[in-house]
Amino acid sequence: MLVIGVAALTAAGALYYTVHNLRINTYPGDVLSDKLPWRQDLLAYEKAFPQSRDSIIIVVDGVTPDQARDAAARLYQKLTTGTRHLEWVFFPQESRFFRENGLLFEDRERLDSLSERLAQVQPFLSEVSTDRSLRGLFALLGRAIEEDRTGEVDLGNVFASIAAAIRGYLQGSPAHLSWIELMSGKSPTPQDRRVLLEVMPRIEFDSLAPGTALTEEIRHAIAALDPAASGVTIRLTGEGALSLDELRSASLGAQMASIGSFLGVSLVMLIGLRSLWLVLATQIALVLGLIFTAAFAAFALGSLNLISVAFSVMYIGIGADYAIYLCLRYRELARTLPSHRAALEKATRHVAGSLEIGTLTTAIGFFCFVPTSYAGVAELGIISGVGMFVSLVVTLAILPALLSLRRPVRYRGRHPLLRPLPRFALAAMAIPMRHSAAVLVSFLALGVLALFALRGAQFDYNPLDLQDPQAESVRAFRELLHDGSSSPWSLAVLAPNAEEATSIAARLEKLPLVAGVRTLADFVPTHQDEKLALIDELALTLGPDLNNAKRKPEPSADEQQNALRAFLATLSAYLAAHQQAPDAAPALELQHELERLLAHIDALPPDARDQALQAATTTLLGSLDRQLSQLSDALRARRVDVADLPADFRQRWVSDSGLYRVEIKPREDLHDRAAMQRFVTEVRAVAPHATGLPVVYLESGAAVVRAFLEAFAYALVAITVVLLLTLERKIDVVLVLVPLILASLLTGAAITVLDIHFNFANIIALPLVFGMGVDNCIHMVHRFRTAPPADGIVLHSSTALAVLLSAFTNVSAFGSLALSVHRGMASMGMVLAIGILTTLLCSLVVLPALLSRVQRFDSQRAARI
Amino acid sequence: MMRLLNAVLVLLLVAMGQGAIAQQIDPQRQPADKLNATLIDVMKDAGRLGYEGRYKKLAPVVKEVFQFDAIAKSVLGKHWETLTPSQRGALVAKLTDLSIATYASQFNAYDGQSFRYEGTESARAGRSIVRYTLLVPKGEPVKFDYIVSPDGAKWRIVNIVADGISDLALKRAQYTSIMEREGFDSLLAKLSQKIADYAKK
Repeated sequence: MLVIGVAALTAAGALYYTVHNLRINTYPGDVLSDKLPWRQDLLAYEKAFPQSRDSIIIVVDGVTPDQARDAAARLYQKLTTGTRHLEWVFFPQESRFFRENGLLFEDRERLDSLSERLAQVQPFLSEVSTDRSLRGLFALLGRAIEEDRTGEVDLGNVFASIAAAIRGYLQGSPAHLSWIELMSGKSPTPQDRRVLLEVMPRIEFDSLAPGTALTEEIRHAIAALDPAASGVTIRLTGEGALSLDELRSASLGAQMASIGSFLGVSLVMLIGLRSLWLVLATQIALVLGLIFTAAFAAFALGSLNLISVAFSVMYIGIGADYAIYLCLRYRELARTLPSHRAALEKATRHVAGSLEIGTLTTAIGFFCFVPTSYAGVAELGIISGVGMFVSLVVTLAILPALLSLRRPVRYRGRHPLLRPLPRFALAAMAIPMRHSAAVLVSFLALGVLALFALRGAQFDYNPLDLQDPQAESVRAFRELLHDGSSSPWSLAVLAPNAEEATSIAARLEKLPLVAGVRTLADFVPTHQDEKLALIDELALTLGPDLNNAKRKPEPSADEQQNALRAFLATLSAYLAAHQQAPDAAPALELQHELERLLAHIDALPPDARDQALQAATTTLLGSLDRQLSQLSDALRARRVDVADLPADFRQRWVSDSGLYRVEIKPREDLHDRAAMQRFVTEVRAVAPHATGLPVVYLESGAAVVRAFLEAFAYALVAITVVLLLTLERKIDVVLVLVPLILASLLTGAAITVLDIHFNFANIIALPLVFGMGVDNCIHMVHRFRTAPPADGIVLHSSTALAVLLSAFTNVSAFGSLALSVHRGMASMGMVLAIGILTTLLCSLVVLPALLSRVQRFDSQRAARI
Repeated sequence: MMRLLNAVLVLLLVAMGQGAIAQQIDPQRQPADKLNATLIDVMKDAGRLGYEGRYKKLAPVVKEVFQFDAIAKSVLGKHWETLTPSQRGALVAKLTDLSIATYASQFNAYDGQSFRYEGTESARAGRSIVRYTLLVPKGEPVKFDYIVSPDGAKWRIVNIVADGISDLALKRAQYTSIMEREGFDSLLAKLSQKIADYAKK
């Protein structure tokens, strides 16, 4: 009673403390030691260019380039006025510098062909800019047709574009007539329809989830723009958004998995223990233990990372295990002992012996990650390792106290699974012992095969593969990666001065896997004299009043409709006269669409008619304003130098301390690991100190594999030492370890064969399974030595049943992790489940076979003596 | 009454004086003013002069006020670089001829038109825009914007934008497409044809 009272009070306090102190840290970058040389490169780089860290990329995609740019510009306006959680918004296209000098960044040929194109459309632009309505547009087109009697000017493109826009309008498409396309004469590429903005969250130390408030704010601004109405999609990605989404999916995954494993474990226990009360008591004990462990995490570490969040599932799986051993033994003893108190005490004492060793070995499995350089897993190790001891105390102190409250399960005879079994079942159970040689030889062969299979094992160091592939940020990010030139995964080199930067860039540019290299110098346009001369000509050709001519008064609905009809008549006359003209086909198409548009408008009641005309005006002319003002800004280009670049832009290329950044973009899609490896290797051969996320991922992958191998070695040594110290007969150490090593080999092989790659999250599973498997084997050996079953079939004992039950509780706990949307967690669950099943196989088949060999050997020796 | 008249006279004088001063400090206006004055003269005397007479009267003025080598270069864009010096000379001559012919054929009757000066603005590359409105008593006024460029000591016209439509843009769109499709000789032939057509009207 006292124990329970104290436990309940402490738990309440611990819960309060945890809720107020435990945070989840999404910053996976800091989990490796800073002494590694590549980490130092990264730190030097981040110190010089802090803005390269953890920003959010806003990806704006429109059906036309115009609409994408318009939405991005409006979003930029919103974000730069009246937001609280923003450090900065980076959108150089809207800066005065790039609006005015953008043309200088085109090459001369492109500039020349653009001038030619603009000369073609100048009459249109000039007309329409004074009358930005259907009336203006169609009056102009009509005149163009009438004046072009000889058919010299090919209006085909213009007709086709307008026809397509009207068709889209009639079909309800949100696409506007693209004036960018009309002016440039170039059909837009997907990249033209995409605009990127970059946003940096203001660092808020008092917030539990930094960036959340900002994304809320951004989403609010986006919603206000109603992008869907104009066919624009706006998505958030970049490291900042990825880690937020990851946090969301990982904590959701952990919660779901905790609940799932709790239910799964309860179900397995209910089947195994056949007693609601035992299950209930176990559940209470589990919850208490979980609270204590979480409180420890809050106290010792302050925060959970994305991997250590999984501690709860680990705890439930393993904690339930311990409870099962106690409960089964208690059940078994309650049958023979008169008082249930005595049964409880005896069961607790008996179980304590093997549980203590088990706890020690499992905890070693967890603690083995602590000395390695992979802090993310080390923390999971600390929490879960301590959790094991919490579990031990809960199982040996609180659980018996709970069980003593109530008379146990009314005696219902032997456990159903332990009742005398039919002959064939017993025969089956005896197989491993009776045919031990055959079993051992075949498992040896299996082990050798597994060793070969393991050679194909791969480590997937791409952190995107760990994330929910359906998350918005992940999908947008993969699209960006796919198009190498906008790939957010690039490499960077620091150069001490501009000359050095240029010379490194020149060497890197020659590499076949490098799509492009940029330095500050690349933002000072070349051949400025020639280009400015071309722009002078362009300005001269376009005339002075591109965007500031006096506007005509707005037309009435009737005027608009009449203009449409008048143009239709002109177009029909033109078509009748020039059936062979090169633009006859698009003209015919336009005629058809105009007839449909007029029919559509005529069929509407007056109010709706006005609205439809308004909507058609927006479709055809909605993108004109921004384009005209962009064009007239672009005609202000002047000679520019580095010093003219906007400050926020320059700071990305030269640091305050005078270091120059050389940015290297990949040619291939780096989502492919092999491509990432090739890119990094090639670049580092030229620039050994190149840094950036691809280097970070590759190097941390290597560091983690190393950490894993170290951990595994530590675990093996430490567990062997513990076994040597605790087991009386030294041969038992071999009996325990052989099935385990075999199980580890089989697990690794199964993962390789099933094409589940090792990754940052699931790599911890192997040492863990090893640590937990030790438990099973110790229990079996312990039982075999201390209380061998009467029929000599070790599988037909409460211990074997407990091993089986605990394996199934674990599988049901970790199996629910496998259902997590977070890929990393899911794969951790998969690998753990596979590991537990192979361990089960080895401890229930290989171990009995070994035991029988040892037994035979012992009895032969005894006979000889 | 006398006082009022005096005041009006003074005002007029001041206005004229300012006009004179303005003309002095506005050398940009000179080529356009000269062209406009000649055009009005030619229109007033259109019937008597006939096409030939109008052409003769306009030719020296047009040649003086326009900078045809610059215009030819702007019109052809990158194609200009591909021409030989003699081809360039031929094109400049043809454009000059075409301009005179166009004016001679189109400004062929007087209906009370007059040019009103609207103002001068500076533009890119040291150029200026000199704005006028052609007032047509029986019709809509037409905006004429002359873009002038310094050429040595004088200013000369390099583009005319009539009612927003740029002459250079129209020419460039037409000529470059002919150059690309059919080549330089065909362009010259087409220009000659146009000039001949104007002469026939």
